[in-house]
Amino acid sequence: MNRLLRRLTVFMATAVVVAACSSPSSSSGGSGSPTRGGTLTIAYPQDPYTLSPIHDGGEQGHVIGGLIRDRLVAYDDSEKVVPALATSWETPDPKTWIFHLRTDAKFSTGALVSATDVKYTLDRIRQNDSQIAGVYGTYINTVTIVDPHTVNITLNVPYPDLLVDMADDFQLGIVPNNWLETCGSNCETTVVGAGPFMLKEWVKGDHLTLARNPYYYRAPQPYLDSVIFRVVQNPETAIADLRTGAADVLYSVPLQDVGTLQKTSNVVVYTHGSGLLTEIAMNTAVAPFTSLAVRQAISLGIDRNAIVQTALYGYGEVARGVFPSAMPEYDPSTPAPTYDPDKAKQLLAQAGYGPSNPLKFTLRTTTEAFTPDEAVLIQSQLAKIGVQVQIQQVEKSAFYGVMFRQPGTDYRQWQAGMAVYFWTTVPRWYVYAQWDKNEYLNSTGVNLPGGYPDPTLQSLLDQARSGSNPATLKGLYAQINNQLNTDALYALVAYQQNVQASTSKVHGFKAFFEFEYPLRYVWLSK
Amino acid sequence: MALAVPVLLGCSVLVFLLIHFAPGDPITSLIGVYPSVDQVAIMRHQLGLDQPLPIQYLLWLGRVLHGDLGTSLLTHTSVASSILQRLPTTLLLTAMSMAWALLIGITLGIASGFRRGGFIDTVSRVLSIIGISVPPFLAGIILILIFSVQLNLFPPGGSLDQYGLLALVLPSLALGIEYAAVVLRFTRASILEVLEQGYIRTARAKGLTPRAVEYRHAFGNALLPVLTVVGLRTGTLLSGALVTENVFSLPGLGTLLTGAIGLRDYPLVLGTTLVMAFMVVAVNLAVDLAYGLIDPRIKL
Amino acid sequence: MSQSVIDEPISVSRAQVRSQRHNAWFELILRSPASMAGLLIAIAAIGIGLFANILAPHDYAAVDVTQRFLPPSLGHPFGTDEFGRDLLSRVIFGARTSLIVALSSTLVGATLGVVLGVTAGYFGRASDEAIMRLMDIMLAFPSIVLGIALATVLGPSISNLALIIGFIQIPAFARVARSSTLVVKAQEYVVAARTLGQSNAGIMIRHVVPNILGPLVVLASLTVPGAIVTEAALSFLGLGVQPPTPSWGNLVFDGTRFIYSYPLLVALPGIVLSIAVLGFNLLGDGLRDVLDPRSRR
Repeated sequence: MNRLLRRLTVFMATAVVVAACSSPSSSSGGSGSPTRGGTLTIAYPQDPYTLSPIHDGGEQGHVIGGLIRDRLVAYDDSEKVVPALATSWETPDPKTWIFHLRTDAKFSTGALVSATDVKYTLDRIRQNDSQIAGVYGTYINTVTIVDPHTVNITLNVPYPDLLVDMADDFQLGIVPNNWLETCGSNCETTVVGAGPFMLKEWVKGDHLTLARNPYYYRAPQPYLDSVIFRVVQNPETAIADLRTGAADVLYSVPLQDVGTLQKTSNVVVYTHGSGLLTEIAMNTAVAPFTSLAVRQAISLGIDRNAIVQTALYGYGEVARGVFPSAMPEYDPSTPAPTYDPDKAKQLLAQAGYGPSNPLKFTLRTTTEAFTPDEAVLIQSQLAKIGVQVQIQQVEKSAFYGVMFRQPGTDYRQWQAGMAVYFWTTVPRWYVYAQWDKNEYLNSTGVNLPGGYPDPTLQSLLDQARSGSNPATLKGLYAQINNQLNTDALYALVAYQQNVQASTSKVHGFKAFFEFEYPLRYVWLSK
Repeated sequence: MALAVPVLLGCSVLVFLLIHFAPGDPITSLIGVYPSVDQVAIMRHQLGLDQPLPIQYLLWLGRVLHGDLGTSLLTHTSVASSILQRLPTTLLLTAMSMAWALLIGITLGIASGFRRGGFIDTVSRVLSIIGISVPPFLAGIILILIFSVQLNLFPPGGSLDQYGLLALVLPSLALGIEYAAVVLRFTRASILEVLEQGYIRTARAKGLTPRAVEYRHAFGNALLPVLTVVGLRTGTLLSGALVTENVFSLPGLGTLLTGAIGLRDYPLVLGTTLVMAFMVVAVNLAVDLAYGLIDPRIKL
Repeated sequence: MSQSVIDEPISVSRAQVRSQRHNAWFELILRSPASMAGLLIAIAAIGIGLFANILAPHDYAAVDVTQRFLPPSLGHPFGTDEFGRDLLSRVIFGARTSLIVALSSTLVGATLGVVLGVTAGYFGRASDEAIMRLMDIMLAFPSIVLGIALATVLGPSISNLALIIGFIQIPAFARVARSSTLVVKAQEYVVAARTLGQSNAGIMIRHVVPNILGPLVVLASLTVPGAIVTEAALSFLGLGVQPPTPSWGNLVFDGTRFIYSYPLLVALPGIVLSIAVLGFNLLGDGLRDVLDPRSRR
């Protein structure tokens, strides 16, 4: 799941201005100029699992790793990709990238960063014992050292979004040569990088302290002396901490409390669009969802606006097509899904359902995000068109057990599932992973072999997968959206917003898609 | 005492079976994005999850007998170190709860036993009522509402590292109120029983002043039922601690366990429950011994 | 979770128990106001659960997003929740769910516990050892851990919860049943029955069980509140009854999210839950005073 989260910001275009969000993103006041010093305390719900470069650290591993391990390129405070460890690059052909490294970047140990470290990192994460090898192995082919400050990376497939991916993905963050062979017993609990911060202390389950990397090349950044990430599992406790000043920043704000925080005088709230999507996936291999009319009826019977206002407290947007408004690939002309209960009832009647034979199905959800709330609303909305939905809440492990082929599970049991979906690599990879006939994954948590038998959709997916021209892609995505609506494979519901909060002492902070905002810009006033 | 071993063994078998029959496995937590079916199979094999259950259990048992509780599948750090790190919080929480329970329960119990029908007695009755009717997690929520949200006196959660013992004040109170009520009633009943017994007559005959009689004999005899309570309650106390830790988000064994179960981190689940079971068994044994020491009339 | 486990054997004769049972209700009524209050609360709770359909002013699942977070009023005496559903109706139906789970789980625990306990006490030796070791194993766990593990395996549903919570209660019933059986076993009428050649099963059913009912009834009435609390705790950990079915436990759980914005959602179900737990505890205490001559006042 963390890779999805990581990926979800990949598409942010290099030079394009940030796309509009449904509510203006705010940033903290820049009253005065940044002052160096101080400790920022951030309350987050859990620790990373690990900091090892070859193991999956979870969502929080993404954040911490991103602050410690610098990549070849990085984000600035406007979500633009800017040079980092690499100062310039060329692509002589679509599969070859030549990066020129800066000569003054140093790890927190004081050692200079060179091409050897880059090659070591990018090779090491692709080896057999790496949990993340599957991702990078598919597109990185070779990494060659041209000279101590030049690296040549060849890819298996053209990947125009490589820079964006790199800026976002800390797992491409460079570690010192032979790091994993020399970290001894600490390989999981510490890591060294050339980023603005270094690891000072980690008391698992309690807090993780980062200190300024004294050798960071972007002086005077980072302004903060240190950053403490405190584990606060309970969102309400985190809010209490913010109000008392025990925490300066909240990693994520529960949407039902945003109102309370906005009324609190020394608290600033930040919002931004995110790629956190809830959708209902219907298992087209089992009844009743083998019928197109039924699937369309379900989608028509959902009042998404009410869901955004109620379950998301207004901090979200109705899902129009497969991209949230915060992504550059988003096309504002994509029609919003309609709420038409009468038409839905007609379609159901067509399929043979009615008051004497009501449609019944089981909707599985996890307890992630606001899916339980949304499920309750959907249940009551569908009741109005005569559909009886039974909600079955399962734990996340159980929900995805089917997908991961846990022995004893059978995908044919699942009728419909409602899950939170985070963005994967590049948009085309998302649509490909979801609907391509070789992958066909839906959020019921099911890999259905053979996919959905629609040659039109498949051909569109194939074209999108290999295309690289933004104009052509735009047209293809529009057609894909159209085709998905026609096939009614999913009922996309809504995108939640990313909401964070801080005290008014914090400056230079913003909300991005999640918590990947570069903290080197943040400073504290007294 | 030798019975402790088969009990622990039985516990481990039970938990092992339960956690393996739970739908989902660690793979679902480990793999970030949708992997290929082959990758999943490889990971399952690497973690030894494709072997038959009895073999998996025996392998685990073998390692435990060598003192190795295994490694967490998610954090790749030793289960033993995770448990040791979290243990102080849970122990302190239970200790402080017991302390509250004994402090409030015994003092009020003695006072109301001696001054039956007085003001203290009424207060005790009210406290008893609250104690037996408000479950710890609810008490916790109410305490948070009053002392954290409204009055801002105590943190509504957090760790020892951050707040020191302050972090445990509200949780231990929430957990302790229930037991305070029980201790109170036992103590009060004991006092009353003792006051009606012959001890007092004999002691007075020996020429002791009434005051001394009260404190020395009544108090000593109040200890027994208190011990019973302590002993019988360890299991429920740990249960309560687990839920309380969740309410207050304390980094103790309870939250470690619920987290591990959710993520199906088998070694962590097995290790933690084994340690918890061991704690319960150990306390029960200690109480049995103490019982025997205090009242030689009781045969073990 | 607040059970008092009675471990000592209770020496009563059959005649004594019978007359005590006759007098039990009488004495309860005449006895302390506490037991009286407990009885009334218990009856009220069960009544509310039984007649929930009639008593609830609204449909507990009726979502109305225009009526969210309303303060208490005539139309909604407890106010409304985050979906605009009437909280009073949800609490009333919550009573039904919580009590169904509590009562049926107690029944499950009592039945299985008694079977195991009587068998252990009656046959003694090997079966006694085996069964009691098994009970020890179950008691060595903090009960909630067992509950979580079982709920994780079986999945949450009312029937599963009844089984799970019932399962947790087995050891307590087994112990009481066993110690009472040990006493009864030595009584003259049992010895006589054996001499007369009656089957073991027959003896257990006809002579043993009726005579150990006293402490079992007490334990049962004290187990019910524990079961209510355990269901609530499991709901709090996300393993309780499925939405939108309300139970007191999941009402409190859902409400904690709104502790800052609308604390009534936590407070009101919590108070109702506490009153019910209190009632059953008082009732149990009262019954114990009557049925257990060695009661602790």
